[in-house]
Parts: sequence; structure tokens; C-alpha cells
Amino acid sequence: MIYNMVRNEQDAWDLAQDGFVKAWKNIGRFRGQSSFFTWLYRILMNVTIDSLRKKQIESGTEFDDAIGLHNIAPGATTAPQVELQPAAQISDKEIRSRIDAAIARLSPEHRAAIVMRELDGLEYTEIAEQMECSVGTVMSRLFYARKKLQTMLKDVYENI
Amino acid sequence: MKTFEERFTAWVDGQLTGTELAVFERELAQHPEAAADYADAQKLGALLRAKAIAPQLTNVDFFNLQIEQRIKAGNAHGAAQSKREKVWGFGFLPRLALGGAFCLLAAFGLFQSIIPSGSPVEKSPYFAQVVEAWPSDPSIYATTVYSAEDNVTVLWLDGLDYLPGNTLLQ
Repeated sequence: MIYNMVRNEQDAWDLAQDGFVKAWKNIGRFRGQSSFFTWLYRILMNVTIDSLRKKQIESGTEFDDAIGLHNIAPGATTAPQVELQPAAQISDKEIRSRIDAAIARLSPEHRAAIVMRELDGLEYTEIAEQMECSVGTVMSRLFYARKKLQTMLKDVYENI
Repeated sequence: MKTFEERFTAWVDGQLTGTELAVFERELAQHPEAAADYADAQKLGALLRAKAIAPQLTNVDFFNLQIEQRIKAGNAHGAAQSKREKVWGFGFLPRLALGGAFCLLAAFGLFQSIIPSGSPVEKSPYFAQVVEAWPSDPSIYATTVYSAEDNVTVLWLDGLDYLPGNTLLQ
């Protein structure tokens, strides 16, 4: 999950350690109201989102949430931004690189939503619990995250 | 009431059922592009699941060791901090105030036990008269001793060889 959020192996392991150490320090606060996995997952998710936000502030980069929200109409068909490439020309390495670049352009909240749903297979209610927001917000985040990724990756998934 | 985005997402994820699904499918007639979007979302999901695979940890022991070391280091730091907080922490000032109050009480008690209570040595009612009889000769040194029990004042005069005839003690 962390790697899928940050798309950098070393950063992912560092954040995983931060998360585990934080969980160890706060183990006394675990009340058993949710499963231990859910509790630990939330800590790791929060550590990762905090790190992404910190990097965003330090680098001065802005995720294109505003652009996406205003420019993608709910019913709009996604369009590729680059020319379609023959499948043979796109290697796995390139595909991963394109995916990394596309995910990097999402806000931490949109990344979290798409990673939890598409890669970790969590239900809406579970994602809402992890992100401490409503199910409606989760669905909305998923909608726009998908739209943006489709815009950036259409040529990739159309050619594999 | 769910927004179009929410219902579209639920549709893509197969979460719409029954009446909700039927109503949404009727609504989709106004969005001819929705079928293509649905297909795109499915392909995107398949791409992410197939290609966005996290690398496996190659050295689990090293990873675990690093966590263990960080926890140990954190515990040592926490213990030192806790010790500092124990001395100078939140409870320090009340304890200091209590200790100070106890010392003051002890000192007061000691003072009371060493210094006898009651009024100081009573002065002789005749003292004023004795002073009036004070000789002008500086070689004479006068002391009075008064006993309240016997109601007697003794005047002790050092250096007085004789009592002048004109001096009267009452």
C-alpha cells in the first residue's frame, strides 16, 4: 500500500518503519474497537499521507486536484494526452514508469482512495473508515482519481 | 441523494443493485459516453492491478532489525525523558511547595520547643525607682534581679563602697 502511494521503494520502506514504530509507541491506545489490521493500516496510511503532504509543501508542487475537479465533467469521455503507441513499444518498465508518473500527479487523498480500492480491494466503508470521511466522499474521490488516471494512462491500457 | 459521480463510481464497482441500478441505467441514456467511460475504468483497474505491483522485501531480517533498533533507541530516549520529567515535570512544583511548607512547620515547632513560651522576664515594678537612684559615679554598676514568686527585687550594686545618706530606696 505504501509503495503504491509513494511509488519509491526506499521511501516506502522508510515510511513502513515509521508506521510500525508509531504503532508500537501507541499500542496502548488500541482499544480493539476495530481489527488490529484496520488500526495498523490506518496508522500506515496516515504516515504516508502526512509524508506526501510534507513533500508537497517542501517542494512547492501542487497536485492537480483543482484542475481535475473543474476540467473533468462527470460524464466526459476521457481522452489520451499523448499519441497511442504500439503495444510492442511499451515495456513493463515503461508501463510502471508511466503509472508512477500518473499516480504522482494525484493528491494524497485521491492516491489513497484509488490504491485502497483498486490495489488493496477495500470496500467503500473500509476506505471511509481509514480516511475518516463519508462513503460519498470516498466515491467522489474515486471518480475523479479514475478520470485523471484514465486521461494520463489511456494510451497505456489501450495498448497492452 | 447521491451525486452522479457517486452513483457512477458505484456502478463501475458493481455496487449498484436493484431499483438503484435500474434508475441509474435509465439515467445513462442521457450520457452516451458513459459506456466508454465504464470500459475505460475497468481497463484502468486491470492495468493497475496487473502492473502497479509493489516490490517484495528482499531482506526481511534487516528490515525487522532496523525496526527493533529504532524501538530500542526510542525506549532509551523515552526512559531518559521520563526520568527528567519525573524530577522537573508537572509534579515537581507542588512537591517543592509541600516540602517548603513542611520545613517551615518543622522550624516553627523547633523554635517553639527551644524558646520557652510565655512572657519574657517580668520587670520589677521597682525598677523605675531603682533607676532614679542610679548613682552618677561611673565606677558603680547596678543590676536588678526580680523574683515574681517572692515579689522581691534585689538591687545589686558593684563598686559601691557605701550608700550615700541622701539616697533612699523605697
